[in-house]
This record gives sequence, C-alpha cells and structure tokens, in this order.
Amino acid sequence: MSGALKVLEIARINLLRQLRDRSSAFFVFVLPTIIVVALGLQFGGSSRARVGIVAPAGDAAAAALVALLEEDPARFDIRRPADVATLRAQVERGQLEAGVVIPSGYGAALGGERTVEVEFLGTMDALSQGIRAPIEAAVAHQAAIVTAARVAAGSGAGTWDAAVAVAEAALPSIPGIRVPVTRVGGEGLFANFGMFTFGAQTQLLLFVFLTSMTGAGQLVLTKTLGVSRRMLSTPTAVRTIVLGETLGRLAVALLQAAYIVAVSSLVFGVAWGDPLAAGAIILAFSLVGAAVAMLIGALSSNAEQASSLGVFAGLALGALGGCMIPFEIMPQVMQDVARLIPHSWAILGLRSLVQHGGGIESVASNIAVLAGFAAVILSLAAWRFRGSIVR
Amino acid sequence: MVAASSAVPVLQVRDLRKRFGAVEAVRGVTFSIAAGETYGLLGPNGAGKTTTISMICGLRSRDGGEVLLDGQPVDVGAVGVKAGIGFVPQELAIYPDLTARENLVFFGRLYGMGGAELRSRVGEVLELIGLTDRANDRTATYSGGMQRRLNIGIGLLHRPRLLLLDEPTVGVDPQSRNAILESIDALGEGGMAILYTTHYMEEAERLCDRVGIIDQGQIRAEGTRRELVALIGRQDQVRLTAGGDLVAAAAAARAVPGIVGAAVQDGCLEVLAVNAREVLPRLLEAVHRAGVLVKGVDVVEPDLEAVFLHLTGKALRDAGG
Amino acid sequence: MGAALRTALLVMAKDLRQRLRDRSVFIFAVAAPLGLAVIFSQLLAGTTDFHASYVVADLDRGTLATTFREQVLGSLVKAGVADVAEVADAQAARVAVEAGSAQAAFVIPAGFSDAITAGRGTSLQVIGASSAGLATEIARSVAARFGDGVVAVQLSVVTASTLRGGTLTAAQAGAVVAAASAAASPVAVVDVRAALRQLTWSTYFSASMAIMFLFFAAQVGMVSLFEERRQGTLARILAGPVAPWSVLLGKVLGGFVTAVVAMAVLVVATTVLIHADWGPPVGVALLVLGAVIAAIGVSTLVISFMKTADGAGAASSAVAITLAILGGSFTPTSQAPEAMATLALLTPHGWFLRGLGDMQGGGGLTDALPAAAVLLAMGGIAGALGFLRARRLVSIQ
Repeated sequence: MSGALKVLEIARINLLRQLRDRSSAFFVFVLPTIIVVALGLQFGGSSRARVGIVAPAGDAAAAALVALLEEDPARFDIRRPADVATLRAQVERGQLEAGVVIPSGYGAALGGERTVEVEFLGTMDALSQGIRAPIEAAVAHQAAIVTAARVAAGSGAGTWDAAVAVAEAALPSIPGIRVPVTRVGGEGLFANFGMFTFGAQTQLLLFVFLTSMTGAGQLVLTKTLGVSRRMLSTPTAVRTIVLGETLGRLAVALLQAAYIVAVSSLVFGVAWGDPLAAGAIILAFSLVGAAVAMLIGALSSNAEQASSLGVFAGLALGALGGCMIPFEIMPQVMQDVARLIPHSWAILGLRSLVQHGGGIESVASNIAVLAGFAAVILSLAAWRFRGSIVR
Repeated sequence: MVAASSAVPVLQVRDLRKRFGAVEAVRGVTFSIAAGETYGLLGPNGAGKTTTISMICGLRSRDGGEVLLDGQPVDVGAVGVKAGIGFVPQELAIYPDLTARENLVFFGRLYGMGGAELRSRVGEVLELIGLTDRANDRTATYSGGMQRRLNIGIGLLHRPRLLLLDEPTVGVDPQSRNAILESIDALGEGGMAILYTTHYMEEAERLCDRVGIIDQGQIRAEGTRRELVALIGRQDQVRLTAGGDLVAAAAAARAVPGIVGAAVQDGCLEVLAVNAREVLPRLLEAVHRAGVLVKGVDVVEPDLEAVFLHLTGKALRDAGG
Repeated sequence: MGAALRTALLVMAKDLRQRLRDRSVFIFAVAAPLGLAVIFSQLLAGTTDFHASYVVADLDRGTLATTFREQVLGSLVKAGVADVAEVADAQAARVAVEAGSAQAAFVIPAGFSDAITAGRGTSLQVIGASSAGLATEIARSVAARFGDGVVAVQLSVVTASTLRGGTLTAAQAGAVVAAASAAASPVAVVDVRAALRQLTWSTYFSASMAIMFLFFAAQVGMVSLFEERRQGTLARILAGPVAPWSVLLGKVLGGFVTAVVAMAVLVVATTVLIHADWGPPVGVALLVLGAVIAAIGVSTLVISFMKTADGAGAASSAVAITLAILGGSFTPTSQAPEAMATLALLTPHGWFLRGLGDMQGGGGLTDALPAAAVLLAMGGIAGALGFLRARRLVSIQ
C-alpha cells in the first residue's frame, strides 16, 4: 500500500470507530441541533430594552405618556405588568430592564400645583441608567404642556382645562429646539447580519472544535491499546499514522459542519455567504481542531484525562476566541488575546463573507492564518506522538 | 470416605443447577470438601466451573440445589456467612491505581478486619506472596505474575474457611505459575478447605487431594487421582507425535478396533487403547492412511488427561473450547 | 445496618483515594469550571459599568448654550454617566466620533441662544457613533429634554396669549416667561431602586460553570461502578460479606463528597480570584447542597438505564450539557424570551442560579429556601428512583 492509501485507511477506520459509538452521534448531531434551536429562541427574542409600565386605567394623561414611550418601537419593548408588585419582581429578576410607575390620579394631579412623581424602577446597573434618559425625555415632553397650562391658568388667563386644550393644540407650532441625530462611523455588530447568523456561525465553530477534541481521548486509547505500535510494526511511517489519525478526526468534524450548515440554512434560513470561501474557512479551521486534538492526545497518558482536557480546551478556546461572546463586547485586552486564538480568524472570516459578500480572495488571509496554525500544531503533535509511541 | 463421617464438611454442594436462556450451564453438580482438603474441579473451558464457583460464593443466583458452608446456607442475599469464603476470581480483580497494601487493607476491612490484626495480617500475606518490597507501589506497575500473586493474596487475607480459586494460573508465565502452585500447596496445611478449578491436568494432579471431572455442567467422575485413573482400568495411553492433519488422524484412529478414544492435544494425538501392543500396528497404518507423518510414539502411564478422554471421548484442552 | 453503612463508607473512602490520584477528576470538577469562569468574567469585564464619552462643539457661546453645556451636560459628568470634552467646531466633533474617541457629539449652532430668546426655532445636533447605540440614545434624550424645557416656556406664552384672545402685554408676557422659567417641573421622574436580584457577570458565570461541571463531577461515583465491574473488583467485593445496596450507597456517597468538595473549592476560588459575590454563606451552602443532591439524583437515574461505562459517561454528559444549556449556564435566561426562562425552571441549573440571584440585593437565607426546596425535591425524586433502579447494577449478570 502506498503512504497515501494507508493514510486514508487509518482515517477510514477512525471515522468508522467514531460513528459506531452511539454517544458520539449525540455530540455530533443532536447537541448542535439543540443549541442552534435554543439560540434561535434566544436571539429570536427582542434585543430592545424591555420596560414595564404600570399606569392607572382610564387616565387620559397617563395614556398619553405611555403613548409617548411607545412612540419609537425601536427604542423600547414596552410591557404592561398587572401591578407594581409584578413589575418589581420582574425588574428584580432581570426579566425587565426597567419599570415605570405612573401614580393613580395622575391626570388630576397634573392640574394641581405640586410636582407629580413618576417612579422609575431601575437598578444600579448602567443599562438601567441608559434607559432612564429617554423616559425622562418623554416625561419632559409631556411636562412642557403641563407647565404651559399651569402657568397660563395661574396667570389668570383661563381655566386649567381650557389651558390644557390650548397648549396641546399650540404645541406643534412652537419652534422649540429640534434635535436631529446623525449616525457616523462603522456599522454596528449586527448590521446587515442577523443575531441568529452570528449564533449559528460561532456555534458551528465551537462544536466542530469540540468534536475534534473528543478525538483526543480516542487517540490515547489507540495509543494505550497498542494499536499504534502494531501499526508502527507494519511498514508504516509515524507521519502516515499521525496524518491518518488527523484525517479521521477531520472527516467527523467536516461531517458535523456540513450538518450544521444544512440544518441552519434550510430550517432557520441562516446565510453562509460564498460556499467555496465558507467551505475553505471551515476546512482550515477543522484542520486546526484535529491538530489540537492530536496534540492533546499525544501529550496525555490516559484517555479520561485527554477527554476532560480536550473538552476544557474546546470550551475555553471557544470562549476566548469569540464563540460565546462577541468581540465587540470584550475589553480591549481580551480582544487582543482573541487574535491569538484560531476561532477568531474563522469567525471574522465567516462574518465578512456574509456582511460584505466577498469571495474566497477576500478571506485569503484568514484561511492562510488558520492553515498556519494547523501546520505548526500538527508538526508539534506528530513530534510528540512519535516520542510517545517510539520509546 | 472416612473423614466424612467424623466431621461435617466445610462445603457441601448439592444438585446445583443454573440455566442461561436455552443453555443449561450447570446440571446438578454435587460434591463436598472437608477441612484441610483441596478439591479440584477439572474440566475444559465452558464446562461450568466458573458458574459453579459463582453460585458457591453467592455472586449468582441458582436455579436449583443448595450450598452449605459449615452447615449454613449460602445464597445471593446472604451476608454474614460469606465472611467464611475467600474468593480468587479468574480474571485479575485488583485496583491498578492503588498499592498492594491499599488493596489488601480495603478488602480486609470489607471482611470486617481492622486495627493491629489487619496490619499484621497484611504483612503476613505480603510476605507469603512475595510482595513485601513492592507493597507501596501501585499495582499497575507490577509484572503480570506479581499482579496474579496479589490477586490470590487478597482471597487469603481474612483466613477464610473455604478458599475458591478459579483458574488462578491462566495466562501466567511458567515461573510465576510454579510459585503460585507452591504457595497454594502450603495453604491446605492450615486447615483451610480449597476449591480449585483448572483445565490443566498437571495442576489438578499436583495440588488436589480429590478431583471432580466436570464436563458440560456435570461431574462425570470424582475421586483421588489413583481412584480416577483406576476407572480407565487396564487401558494404555499412546501419544503420537506427528505432523499433518491431526484431526483427520484422530477420526481415523477412532475407527480402529481396540481403540477406546483418540483426541488431539498440544500438537499430539492422544490415543487410549485396550492393549497398546496389539493395536499399535493397525493404529499407525490408519494414521498413515489419513496422511499424517508420525515422528514418535510413546506409551505413557495413564493420567487425568487420559481419564478425561476416557470419560468424554475428547481432549481436555482442545475439547470444543 | 451498621455493617452496611461501614461497607458504604469503606467503598466511599477507597473511591476518594483513587479519585485523588486521577487528575482527570480534578480537571473537570475544579480546573475546567474555574478556568471558564475566569475567562468569561474577563471577557465581560466592564460591560456592566456604562460610561459614555461625549464631545460638545459650542459655536454659540451664548447664555443658553452655556447653561446646556455646564448644567445639563455637567450633571451627566457629576453623575458619573459620561465625560464631556469640548471641541472647536462641528467638523472636529464629527471626526472625534468617527475616530471613536467619542461615542456621540453635541453641536450647538451659532445663534442658538438668540433664536431661543427671540422665540425662533433652532436645533441642537447630535452626532452618534453607529456602534454606540445606547450612548447616542442618551445624548438624544438629554438634548430633547433640554429642548422641551425651552418649549415649556414658549408654549406658556402662546397658551396664555391665546386664552386672552391673542393679546398679551409685554409685562404680561414677561411675567409668564418668568413664571414658566421659574416653575418647578410639574412631573418628575423619581428613582425607586429595585434591589437587583441578579448576579454580577463574574458571579453568574462562576455559579453557572460550577453547576454545569457539577453534573460531570456527580456522575463519577456511579460511572466507577462500571469500571469496578470491568476490573472484576465488583465481583470480588460482592463475594464478601456485604449487602449489594451498601456498595451502591458507597458509590453515591463518593460522588457526593467529590461534588461537595469541588463546589466548595469553586466557591472559595472564584470569590478570591474574580471577586464573585455568591451571597450569604449559609444560603449558598444550602443551595450548593441542594444542587449537589439534584446532580447526584439526576445522574444516578440517568446511569441506571445504561449498560456500559462508555454509555453511562456519554449519557450523563449529554444530559449534563443539555440541562446546562436550557438552565442558562451559557446565557442568563433573564435575557432570553419568557419561553426559555420557563424552560430553565425545569432544570436544577435554573433553580440554582435563581436561588443565588434571589439572595442578591440584600436578600438572605429565606430568599434561597424555595429554590433549595425545589433542588432537594428534584434530587430526592430522581435519586430515589435511580437508586432503586441502579441496584441491578450491583450484581453479576
């Protein structure tokens, strides 16, 4: 048999072993499906701040204030809890980012002379403070009419009711101060790019890597069962064995990637961009995963240790590389760290394919970096693997 | 059978039966072992030896029969009575990540031992199995023979009334095997009853006071070596060293008048004949016609091997696996 | 009974000794969750303390522009919400935002104050970075609110004038302006601090990683039963004077002690290393105990259906990961839609995190009791079923 045929044979046996193991079917196919669906549910929800409002029923002024808050649907997702206690509980549990309580008798109190208090139920949280500003602006908008009506009625020009009617009618004609908002700078994280697509891409990378990691344990088993030595006793080079074992992991990882791409695009309509380019990135990345698994397998002396190390490495690198938390949210230091992790190169590559619609040439540098990672780690693994079986 | 009337045997096994689905693995096994006696169950692989031992020490439920240890019934649910049994499983049953001492102490405590008694007994057993020097190394680092010796040592630790040894020498190198046999030989002297299963005729001959020949779940014959060999009567055992298709040769040999049985064992053709001198020319001719080249002929004194062949018509070790 | 307990403790002690020698348990019970908690807390460091940086280009330099700069924007600075720097002109403001040195800019046009005083319209431009939605929104709100203050005065004059039939003497107008300017805001937004019953990021991920890996640590006891069977040591133990269920109990106890120790180490280590704030110690201890019992119970039940060590390990890992995802170990369910939050309450993970959250913001032991009770109930029911079923595993088939 030629070297290449041997490599394929070793790879085939490995693929077979992994596919026969029923538990691996769970990790390769079922688990990613669960995650992609769970992500769909999570990201399918609103990304707007959820604000709960409790307002007295049948109060026109209160209704007007609520309408002001609901005016811009992009800003808040307005919820209407039944009572203050529910509102408070939901804010406390983080199910609402903030709450607004308009007191009963609000409309009548506006006609009085006192300052009417609208309660803002928030936390010390920064986000909460951010939400407070637009609410104050809405209140100030309504307060302008109330002030005008109070001052006019107070000056003896007419009754409160008449003053309110006049002020409301006159409001549109008041020159005031316009606040035009211009947006500049780079697009936001999810511009031209669904949250779900982001989720599907990062989860694909996370899982493909994790699947490769389970190979680490198997490699140690191969090693301890003496199979590798037996292979070595046949006229087969260490290089061939390492390559074959790597190819076996790679095949499983690619199978899984194909499955995730298929499910996410067919069922959830996730876009993946240019197929050739996306395929090349996934291939290069899977190769890195297989290489890391080989390295861990070569370094470990028992299978359980290798498996636990592998899973940990898969999760940790995934987190550091931006699979769980978008780079943009990370502090600068961690963003720099992410550049050292293969995942980040794959994520940025896949993202740019969808955001900018480029072809394979647009992500050539990403693919090159990933290939470089794979080459270095694989050589390291082959060297260590040789050391561990040729003693 | 003088001893039987003077004292209750340590172990009494009566009409033991066990069925696995359609296979009846043990079909009415009965025997007993007196104090200080070593009893051998000799039979090929699959004869029902391990199943019998498992039922005796309460690891498996039985479909029929009874097991009495010093007159007390042993069953799957039994707890206290099992303290009187020492069990040495066929496969190694030791913790590879613990040291020999830790293995011994753990099992000693399980049998209710403790304190200074356990400490000194562990020392004794380590000495007996020759592992004193390596007592504090993890057993994973031991040679196969050392692991085997520890496997046996654990069974001896709590000074059981009855020691069950299930093929303790399988897969052991000749040197370790000899050491194991020597140490077992010494055990019976302490008054312990020993049940020893094996498919090695030589071990049964060397160690056992009495031997039960077991095949297909039944004890076919029982007695001392002398008694068993006497069963064959005045038959002769002929061993042909030969090359070629021995199985065909055995079949051809069986057809020869005056031949009681023929079987292939360890690369030889074992033949049991009524009279070796008379039958030899015809035997050689038949074998020759079967296309086998005979290189040597020995007429040997009958042993348990021959008894087995006599009783079952097949060889002990190659008997259908 | 005493003998059975002695057997159980012996098996447990032996298991723990073996586990101490096997580094893999340490890896997945302590090192992995700790490592991931540290990583997550580093990744999310700073996401909760919101701070905006603004620039303002004042091309007017009039009274009202100064009021806006010093009082309105000044109050933001004083509240620690933002820092504000001045730039020379609109171009510089835009450049600052584009370059990312500011998240949003205010541009006060020339003639701003005069226009307002004269009752003419004017504008207050906000230039926001696309990537800084919240900071821009706050900037817009602040400017709009200032504008509404001006509107209030102008609207007062118009309203009074209209009511009087369109005629207003200069003196009357002056009085109205003065009254309107001096009037206290008729509606005020007052803060009612909700005690946030939520965990900080570092605490959240410390707790969520801890309970995720707890389910891996909890299974080791039961899985070792298969290992004992393979090694033949199970047969050897059962041949001795022991009740089979006491061996099972020993295995479960071994898993329990492993899990409790791992959790205790994690609580202490995350508190020291990443300043996780788990809450009142007694309540935390109660929840940890509940979580450990739930984890042991669930994994005992899952494993009782399995036939091999590989199958048992894989099945309980699969269950552990699925529960972790549903229970919010990776993303706080509070940020997910209600359906996910409800689903989370089917998992021990969800209740554990909820119980810890309930003790935050001044809560105490009593706030943790409902969650602890649910955890104990989950563990008790699953564990009892599992223990009964798993008795078949301690026999020689």
